[in-house]
Amino acid sequence: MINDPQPGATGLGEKKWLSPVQALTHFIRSQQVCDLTESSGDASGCSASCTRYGFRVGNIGLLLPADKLSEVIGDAVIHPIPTTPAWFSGLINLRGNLISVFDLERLFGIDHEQDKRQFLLIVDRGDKAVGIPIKELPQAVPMGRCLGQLPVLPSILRPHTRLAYVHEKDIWLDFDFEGLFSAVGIQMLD
Amino acid sequence: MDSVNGTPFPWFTDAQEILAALEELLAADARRDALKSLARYAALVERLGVLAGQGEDCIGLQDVCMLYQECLIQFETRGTDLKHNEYEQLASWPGLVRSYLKSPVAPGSAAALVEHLEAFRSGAPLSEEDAEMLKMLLELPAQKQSSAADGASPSFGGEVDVPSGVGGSSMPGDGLQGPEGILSTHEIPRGAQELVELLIKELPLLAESQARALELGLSAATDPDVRQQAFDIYAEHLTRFSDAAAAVGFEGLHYLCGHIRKNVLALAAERRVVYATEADVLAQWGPRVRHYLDAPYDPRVCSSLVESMRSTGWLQPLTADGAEALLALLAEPQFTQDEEASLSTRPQKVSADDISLAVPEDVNVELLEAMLQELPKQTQELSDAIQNLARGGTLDDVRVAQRLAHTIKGAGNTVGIRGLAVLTHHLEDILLDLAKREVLPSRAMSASLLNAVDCLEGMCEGLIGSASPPRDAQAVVQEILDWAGHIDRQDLKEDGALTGAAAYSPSKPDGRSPEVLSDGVRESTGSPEQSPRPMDAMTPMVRVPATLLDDLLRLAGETIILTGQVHERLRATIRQAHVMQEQCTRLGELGAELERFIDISDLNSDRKKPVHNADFDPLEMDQYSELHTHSRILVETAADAGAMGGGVIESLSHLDDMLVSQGRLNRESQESLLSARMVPVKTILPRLQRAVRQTCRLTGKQAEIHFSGIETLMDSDVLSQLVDPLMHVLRNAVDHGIEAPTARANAGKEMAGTIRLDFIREGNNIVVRCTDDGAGLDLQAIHRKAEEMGLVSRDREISEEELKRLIFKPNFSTRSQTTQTSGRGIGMDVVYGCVLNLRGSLTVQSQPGKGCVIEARLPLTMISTHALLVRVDSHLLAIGDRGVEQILHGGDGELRRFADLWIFHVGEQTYPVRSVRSVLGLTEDYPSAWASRCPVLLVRGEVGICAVFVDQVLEGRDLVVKKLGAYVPKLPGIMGVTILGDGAVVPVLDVLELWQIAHQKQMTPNTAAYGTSDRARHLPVALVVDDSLSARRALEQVMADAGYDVSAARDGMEAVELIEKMRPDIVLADLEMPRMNGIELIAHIRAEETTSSLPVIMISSRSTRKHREQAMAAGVNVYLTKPFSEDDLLDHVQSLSSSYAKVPGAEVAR
Repeated sequence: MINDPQPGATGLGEKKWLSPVQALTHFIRSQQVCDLTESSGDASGCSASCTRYGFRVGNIGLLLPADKLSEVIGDAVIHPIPTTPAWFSGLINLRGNLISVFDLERLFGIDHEQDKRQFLLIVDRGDKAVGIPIKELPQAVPMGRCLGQLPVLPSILRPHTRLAYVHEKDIWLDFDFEGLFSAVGIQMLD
Repeated sequence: MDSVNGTPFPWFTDAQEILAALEELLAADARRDALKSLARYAALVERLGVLAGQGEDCIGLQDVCMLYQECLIQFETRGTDLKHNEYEQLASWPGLVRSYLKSPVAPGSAAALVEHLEAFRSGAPLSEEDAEMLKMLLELPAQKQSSAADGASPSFGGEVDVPSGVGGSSMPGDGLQGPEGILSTHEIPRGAQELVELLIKELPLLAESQARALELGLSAATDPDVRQQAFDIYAEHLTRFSDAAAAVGFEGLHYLCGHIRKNVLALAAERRVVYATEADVLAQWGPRVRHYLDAPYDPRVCSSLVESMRSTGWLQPLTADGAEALLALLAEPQFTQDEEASLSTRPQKVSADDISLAVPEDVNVELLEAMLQELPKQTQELSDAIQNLARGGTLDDVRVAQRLAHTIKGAGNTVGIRGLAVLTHHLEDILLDLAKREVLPSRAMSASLLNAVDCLEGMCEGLIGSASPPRDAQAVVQEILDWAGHIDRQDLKEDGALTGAAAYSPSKPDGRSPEVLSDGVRESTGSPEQSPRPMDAMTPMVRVPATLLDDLLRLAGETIILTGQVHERLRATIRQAHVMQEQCTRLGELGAELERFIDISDLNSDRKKPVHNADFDPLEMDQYSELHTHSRILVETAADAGAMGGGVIESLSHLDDMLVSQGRLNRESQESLLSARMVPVKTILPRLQRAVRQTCRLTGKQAEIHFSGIETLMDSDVLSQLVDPLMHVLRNAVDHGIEAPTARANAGKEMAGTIRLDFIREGNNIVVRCTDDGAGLDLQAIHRKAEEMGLVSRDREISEEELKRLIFKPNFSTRSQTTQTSGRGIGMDVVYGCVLNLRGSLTVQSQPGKGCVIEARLPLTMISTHALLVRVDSHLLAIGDRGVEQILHGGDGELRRFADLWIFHVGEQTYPVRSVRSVLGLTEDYPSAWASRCPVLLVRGEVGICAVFVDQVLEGRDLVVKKLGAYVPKLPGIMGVTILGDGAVVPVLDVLELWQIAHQKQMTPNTAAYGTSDRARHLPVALVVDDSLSARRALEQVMADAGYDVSAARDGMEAVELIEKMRPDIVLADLEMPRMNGIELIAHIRAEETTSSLPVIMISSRSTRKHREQAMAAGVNVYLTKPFSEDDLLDHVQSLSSSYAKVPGAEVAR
């Protein structure tokens, strides 16, 4: 949301104020947030000193949620479940916990090579834990510049993507983890 | 009077001599032998005291001398020298007395003597009262002198602030009129009654003092001093009584007593015998005051009392003006309410705040937890006591109920939950009154009390979170408040009924008299032994989060799995050990054989070998070579290995036994944890009883409800989800099933209908059966309605079974009008959906005119289920045993093709074949050779039995069924997954559900639209937005009952986020909310293309036109003000929902 500026201050430089109706009907898009964060300097997630871990799904780089535990395990035995879509690989038994495994490459429609998965990335704990097959280990990604506009993304991913960062020509997406997988779960009933 | 010295005391000269002697005494001794002089000093003081006593008006000085003398004697007895200050005091005393005697009128002369005395008696100080009395007595001569100078009667002008005109000559003949002769009906407020009673108790003590004074006063032989003292004491008592009257609020009585006191003191000052007339008026005023205290508002009593004060018998009768002023004061006492009384000042109307169940932010969490733990039991006991009273009961029930109400009130006040405290406060007052008057409640009151405890139980459930707060709380509390108000105004007769002038009819929505409704329900639980009792108070209970139990269960299950894995490995190891031992045995045998061969070969080669020992023949002495040695070592080694192997096997066997024991312990732990989730069914009975009572009240019908099997244990999750469906079923039984009393009488039935609710355990399932003796299902009406809705065509025959199942369709109701109880066709639909969600089944049987039986079959627990482990192709599956009736061998029957479908023919029955292979993506091919070897499961569904072919049935076992994760919804036909002993994850299929989905696809389009599967049918979604928790919950409950899937948001911002995610079908929003109010929310909704036509109902307490217009201008469809009628709300919801069509693309798959 736009921070209330001091009365009489321009606050955002040449940005003109929205009328009340426009303000009510217009929610801040990611570009505006990026402009804000650029102009305001240090904002959470945009500092050069901030580093997060990211993983790749095909050529899409995704940032791991900073507030969730993650681990990488060797390719565990995945037990398929009937009547589920192909991008739902099945379940694994990890220390007595059942973890759903979502093949995001299939879900995003990315061409993939079968059986080239080496790792399984487990994000979060308990019944909210999710397994994602990955080919490479997650890597540390220093937060760089925010992209003013999101790149073209798979339709299921876009509504849940907050920001896009650039680091050494790679784009890394900060996304709403729970929102994405909730939407994915709903799609399972189609 | 000593005119020479100007002193009123004629004996002043004699006193002077004594005082001079005192001064000389002290000066001569100069403290050297002051102690020796004390005796002489005391003697002189005594002489002065006697002298003062001879005077008629110097009692005060006489008392001072006596008290002084006491001190001196004590000092003498003490035996120590006087202290300096004591000596100084002794030296100054004569001067003070002289000053007093010279001029008692001088201000402070009397006070100086008293102060000196108090200082002198520091070791034994005077009480305030005595000091005051002494001062008064010392001032007597002064007053007499001044009044003699003025020519007026002595008066104590400073002590009593009497109205002007009191005192002086009387004006006889002034008749006093009461206030227009109207009899006041005012009563002393309850809070002041106790104080008035205390005041009344003081009157006998006052009368005693008065009697003593009059006795002495009337007797000529009485010593004047004694007489005066008696009157003084009486006056003192009058002062106390007067002050007490003022404290209670009887200002008029206070002034009256002041006037009487003045007369008494005046009488005492005259030091003469009391006249008879004076004695009469004194004797009469007490009973008049008693009469006044009984009826202070009675103008006749007030007039009589005032009139008596104007009698000429008084030394100073009341003047006319004084009488008038006094009358006004007497007629309007201003009672002082004490703190408790002020707190209990009863309001007339109940506000929303009075029913609030909001928990204060600064609540003590431990206190709250403790209250929540005890509250269900307390409310249950209170409900039982009130129900006993409704059925007759005794005063013990009243007392028990009052005690419980008091306890709950205290808890509510302590924690700060106003709704609880207010309701129980008024309830307690009613019960207290009943207990005090020792009467039982009338029927009307009993009905209200029942409503109150139902509401209280609802509040308890709302606080615990097991249900929404009661919606009718305000009305119920108002009802109780009205009853309490009647008690305050004493409108009740001895029998608890209202007096004619205050007949009370609590307003009911249908205007029915409460007498009819209070007989609504007689409840029985079958046998007395089975009567539902609250939780055993002696069993210590601990509140444990359900998530903790789930975790423990998961860990227990994992332990069992790991133990099983260890066990399997152990067995494998034992097998290997056995194999190894066999190898060792084999090796030993080979070694022995080798030895034999070596021996034989040696024998053959011995003839050619030179003989080393000529004494022995080769056959007489064995000759061994290295080969022999090694072969022997080999044999021995093999034997040793075999022995060691045997030892290993033995150890492994012991380990096996230990693992078996561990496995048993693990299973016990798991069963205990499972049982921790199991609760007896009786815990939900109060809610079910309440539902029946409320429905009976609403419909004017009578019903008895009987329970059986209430000790049956069920999973708490299953039970909590079962409550609402059961309440629906019971409400339906009363509303649709049980006839009106007159109709029942005409049909030769009992006036009160009978409903039985039975809980029966059958294996791993529980059967809940609701039987009523009402009219049964009206199949003709159902058929007509089904034709109207297009569910059946006129030319198609429909079986009775199918007709009955139509009542489970959404929006199906044979009622043409909706009521609060029924008519929307949502109850049975919701019931069916709930039962299916619990993996149960629901059937209905009916006999016209005789009744209806609705039976739900449910798993005992959702945690585990009995399933068959089967193999289909290479896939391992578990099939839930729900509906599985038989397992046959494929060869027992014949699999054949019939009209493009596979059927299984066995005996005289033919069953359609349902495929599990298609679920796994396998081809549905049943080679006959294969089919004849396969097991066949016969599964009973809702419309018949089907046959399910599998490759192999491995075993049947109890499995812990787990969900697929937070992000994976319930999949059609998949109950969940289970983890086997080897860690494999196996899906658990629900064949019946798979079959229902397949069956549904074959139905006609109309019927498909009213599918029975909860998976194929989407519940409409409602979004409730309100910052008030209680309002939000109440609205959620209303919409859930209406068949909506409800989400809630606390403010507009949260609502916007939810709308983006879930796309509701209707929004119900409050107006005033933090962060984003209702107007802003609606503006946002209308601005978005995908939600521009989303129906929005605004519900607000703001009823002004301005607010309404603003909301409508923002785009609200309907604006309702609180309190609103649920029927109205639901009518609006229905009409808006039917006209709403979502924007294409805005639909989010559910």
